[in-house]
Amino acid sequence: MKYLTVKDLDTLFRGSLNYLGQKREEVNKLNVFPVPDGDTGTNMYLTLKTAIESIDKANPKNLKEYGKIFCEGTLIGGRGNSGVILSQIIKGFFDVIDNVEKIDVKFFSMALQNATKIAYQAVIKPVEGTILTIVRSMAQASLEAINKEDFIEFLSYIVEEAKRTLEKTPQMLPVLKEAGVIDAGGQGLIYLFEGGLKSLKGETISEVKEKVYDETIKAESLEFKFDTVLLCYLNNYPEDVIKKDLEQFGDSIVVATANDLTKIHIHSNEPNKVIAYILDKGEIKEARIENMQLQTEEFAQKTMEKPKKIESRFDFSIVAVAQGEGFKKIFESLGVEEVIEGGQTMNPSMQDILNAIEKCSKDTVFVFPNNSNIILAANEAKKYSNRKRVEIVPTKNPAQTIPIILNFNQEKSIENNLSKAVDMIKKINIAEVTYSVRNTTINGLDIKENDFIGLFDDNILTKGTTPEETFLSLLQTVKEKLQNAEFISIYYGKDVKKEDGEAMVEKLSEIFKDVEFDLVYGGQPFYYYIASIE
Amino acid sequence: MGRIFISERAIKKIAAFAATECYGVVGLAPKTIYNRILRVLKLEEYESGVDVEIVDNDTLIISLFVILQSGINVLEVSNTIISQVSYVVKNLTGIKNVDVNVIIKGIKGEQ
Repeated sequence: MKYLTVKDLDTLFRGSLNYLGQKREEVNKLNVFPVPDGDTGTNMYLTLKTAIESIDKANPKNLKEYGKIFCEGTLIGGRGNSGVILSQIIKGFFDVIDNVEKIDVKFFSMALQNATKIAYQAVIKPVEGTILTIVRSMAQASLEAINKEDFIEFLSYIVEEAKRTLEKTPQMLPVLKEAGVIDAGGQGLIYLFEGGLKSLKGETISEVKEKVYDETIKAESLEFKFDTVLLCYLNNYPEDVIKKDLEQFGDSIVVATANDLTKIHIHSNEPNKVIAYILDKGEIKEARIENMQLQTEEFAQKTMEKPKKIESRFDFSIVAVAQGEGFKKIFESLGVEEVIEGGQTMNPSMQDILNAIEKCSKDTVFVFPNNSNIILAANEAKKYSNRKRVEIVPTKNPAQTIPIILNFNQEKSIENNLSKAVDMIKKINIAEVTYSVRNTTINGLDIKENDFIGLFDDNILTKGTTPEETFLSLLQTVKEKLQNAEFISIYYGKDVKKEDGEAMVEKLSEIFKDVEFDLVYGGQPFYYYIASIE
Repeated sequence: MGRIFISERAIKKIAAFAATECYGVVGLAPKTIYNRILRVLKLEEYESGVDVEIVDNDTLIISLFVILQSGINVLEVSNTIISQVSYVVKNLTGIKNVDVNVIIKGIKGEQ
């Protein structure tokens, strides 16, 4: 093939469209810049699709007409940033075509150069490492290959060069490097050319059907079990021969060479034979074999475990706000239907609380705000909830909530339980250990920033050098108030080691002989220890 | 512990640079009505092509006065500007709600 006619060009673009359609999900996944919305592949595909559709409608006779309609199509259909750039590239490409019937290699090269020029014109500060870099490298490659007579050879050279440039995009653009990907737009453009090249060669690229997302993944038996990746030196052994030979071992074969290093990817049942084959041809640098069967089984198991719905055993549902995975787990095990993430630094909004209330199964919902700052939002949510009866139990701390829930009686009425809960709040004392965020003097204590402080019912009473020491001195300070105490449940935070907590509880048990101590993981941030005293 | 102040001027600069990095934007134009002759702003005058309204500590409204390349899908480019500028400003300043208005002051011809 020495030149392209209108018909060939049409074949080329239709091939591009279908190939891009197949690869668009892959391209979408690459998208990191500038906004990580992951739609580059789809945008480019839809842009091209509009153009092809307008060609179908207008049925142009000559190249000039074809170009005009195609440009209009991409202009109108141009979606997203990549679509707009693509439309400019196409526009630049067809701009130079005037009264010619055949595009030869030289003409194609000229068109690509103009495409680059037009594409760069529309931006003040071109960012390198994007689709613009790729189209420029294509134009450059077309100049290098201008002496090739065969169009397919010429186009293959351009695609190969562009791929090489694409590999370098992470070096040009730091965001790509950080994300560990290559540029999405550039990849899309290369697929566009690659698809065109394939269809010019006479390969048929099947049209894509719209995929249904969110398929449930089942543990199915795979035809080929092992995902095998080999990095090897093959001493210029021809890639296509290797590819052909590998077909006997499995599918999904990819052979790619960069510098001397060749990367081989294959799904196979006999990775040992693959390795033996490659060793016969050259040297292996690295090998990685993964069992996909087990992976999918694991994945399916994980997804199956996920939905677990807690149903309240009382006549009412319980919603609680908590921070820390330990508290979350405790609440769930106690039958709290909805645990809202939030706490000291991150207050949930009224809407969050309302949403949680709406999700509950029973008509009456008890809300435990577990923080004085959230009580207000909870009261607001109560006002706005018209489908459910909402009752707020104004707890100031998750540690308070746990004994209250434990004391609920499912045989008693809702009112009875509620009044009992509100009564209990006053009876449960809370001891906390946290750190100071600034220098201050309070209750005669001179507190420095980052000092550990002990709070008893929200009053700062002690300070210390370790959380454990602070907690010990805190309890000793309020000794008189603990005379009637029976249980002290201590919830340790995520910055505390379990052993430290255990050592502290041992000491505490010696000092307070009549009290039963319990140490549980709360996982809360900022507070080293939270304890409820009953 | 201390406070952080971000001046309007700084936000304008951030927005202007983010906008000029968008594909299809060939320049910013002065927003004032006194400058009746349309011209492309120089780099050091960028902030006069941006308007910033500070609603509260978490909310900003930015208006950008831009000149676009001709023969380009104006709507798509504008949408890109909105998402990109809003993303960059949010990311760099930590301000939660950033609304962006795009006012197209002109189209630059091909030659």
